[in-house]
Amino acid sequence: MNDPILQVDHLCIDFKTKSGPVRVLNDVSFNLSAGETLGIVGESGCGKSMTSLAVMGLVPKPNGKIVSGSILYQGEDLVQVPEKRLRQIRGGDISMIFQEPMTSLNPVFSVGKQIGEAVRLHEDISKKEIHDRVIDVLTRVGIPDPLKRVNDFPHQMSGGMRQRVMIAMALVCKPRIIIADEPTTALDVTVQAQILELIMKLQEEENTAVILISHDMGVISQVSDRVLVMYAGRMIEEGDCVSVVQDSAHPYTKGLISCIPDIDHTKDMALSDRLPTIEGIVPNLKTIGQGCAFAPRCNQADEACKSWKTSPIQVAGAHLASCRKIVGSDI
Amino acid sequence: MMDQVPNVFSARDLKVHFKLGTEDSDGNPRVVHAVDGVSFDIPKGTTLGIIGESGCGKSTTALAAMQLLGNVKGKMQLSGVELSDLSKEELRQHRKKFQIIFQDPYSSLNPRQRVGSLIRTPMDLLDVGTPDERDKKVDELLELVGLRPESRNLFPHQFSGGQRQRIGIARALATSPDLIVCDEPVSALDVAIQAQILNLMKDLQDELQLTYLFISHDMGVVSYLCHEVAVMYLGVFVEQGNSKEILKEPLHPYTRVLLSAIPKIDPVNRSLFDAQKLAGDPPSPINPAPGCRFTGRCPHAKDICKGEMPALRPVSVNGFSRQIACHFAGEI
Repeated sequence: MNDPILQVDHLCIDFKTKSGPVRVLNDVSFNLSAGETLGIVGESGCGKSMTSLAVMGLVPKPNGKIVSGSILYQGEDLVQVPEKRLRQIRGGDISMIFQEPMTSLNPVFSVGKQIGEAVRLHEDISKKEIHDRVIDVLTRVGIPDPLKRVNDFPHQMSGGMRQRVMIAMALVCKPRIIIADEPTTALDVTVQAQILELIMKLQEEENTAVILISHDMGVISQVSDRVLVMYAGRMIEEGDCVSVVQDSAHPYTKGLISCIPDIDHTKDMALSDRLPTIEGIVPNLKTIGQGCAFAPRCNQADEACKSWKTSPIQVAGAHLASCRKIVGSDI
Repeated sequence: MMDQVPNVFSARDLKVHFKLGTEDSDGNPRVVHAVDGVSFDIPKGTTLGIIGESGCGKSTTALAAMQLLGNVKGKMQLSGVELSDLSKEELRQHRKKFQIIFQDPYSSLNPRQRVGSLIRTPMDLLDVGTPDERDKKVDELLELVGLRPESRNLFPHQFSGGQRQRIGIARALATSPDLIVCDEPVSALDVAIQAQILNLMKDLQDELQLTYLFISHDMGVVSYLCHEVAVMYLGVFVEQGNSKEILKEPLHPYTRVLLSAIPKIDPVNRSLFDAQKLAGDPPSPINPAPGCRFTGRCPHAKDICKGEMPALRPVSVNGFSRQIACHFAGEI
């Protein structure tokens, strides 16, 4: 295994609210190596986007605060570095593809200008060179006729084309890490397949590390090398993709996968059949205790789960899950 | 078979065209062919799913069925009543027979109305029952959709997304409609909540013999919920029939591509990128070219496809008849 280029260790983030601090990220740790794709999956509010914002140094201020933990990028702790250094890394070494290509692009600047801006900020090169770089990257992301489209405004492009522009913007400085936060959620399935394939192809060319954030277990299982499942700001399960998806150890992961109306499964179900469900709703982070966050909805939970301070337990090899039932009753 | 069950809703040759008020380079008016001649029947107690990508016309079809558009051509019948024959006031009265569940449970509930009043409003407006009966019905509906009767005094913001969608369902059921049009009712919800709402919709259908017109872009959801499915592309149905049969063995090239583009939950056999891929985006629905709408992106297109729009024709597969709009249906 390669040395990790990103190491997130015991990261905790609090948000200030009227009723006191709320822990939105609780003890999250993971590693990422060059060329690897880490999928982060979970429901709304589970902390997957907050994790990516933390890596980008974009935790909303002043309400959000990293209270403990570290984010080591090639040995440099991004939690400690000054804002100036962070600006060099952000967009240059680590870049991000956002979910909504319509709102993430500025409607009053041409796409060429917006892509070129990243180069202008990070490298000292001439306008001509910037233009060439922009044309080159537009070609690589599969935009037809880039010499003409470089002057287009976002509204002149379709959703799929805009997302390609977002990817071009993330790629233009040849980052070591790309964070893709729900990059295909706003797109139709046929376009989604094109965009995912493009991200994977570009990753291979440059040996870039990718963090793919998605709520869609299908997308995650098609492209990730490793998967991190999150719930209520905590890590639930982590491991290689096949183990986590096919041999899920945590009851939440199992429940999450079984309640998806996956076409391969539903087409063989009778109309009178019902999908299994996870009863109840995601807990309120303000009132959540120290015990297992999933215990109130878990059909295997007992009294001890409610007070068990969760920590990852080895299932097999590098496959970890935060459930005390995994090793039987010895905890 | 379904044949003996009466149709709750029928549409014949439904067309919705929007004039843009501009002209193309040849001087012809530019017209968006949002829905371009679709026909369907929904038997009582069943669900018809309309599936397709953004801009294919599926939501416009739903709005047309709800009689919310002024420029609809074609015939629509609800429980035997020809809807285009009704006067404005008669149509208003008739609205108790068809109701809608919207996609976004956040923007489709008035934030300043209490839940009891939200659910009661359709009954008040359409004169269903006496005031006492309406109050009683609100409690019954809340229980039916799995909410506590005390919920009636709360506001929408006090509920989660899934609970809000339950309120939307209760409101749609308030006037005991024959047909419920569901426009992407679960696409804004997380999967765990989505499964709860889908199961609720199935339970209600069994219990109350409800008839749904279900608009969705999610093939898995359609295959779970719908008896019949119509696959829509640029304003027309390209394949229509028993949903399980079509999703197991798609015959129209577009249905095949659509199915192969779904990321399956199978990390061992990663088929997503081996699958047949569509190049580019769907063409514009403004003044579409003659011929099959799918020609430009179809791997099997021949000359005839460019010149002549294929009509839906019946093809029998595994004892089930389905309709396919392809010149080479059954051959490719």
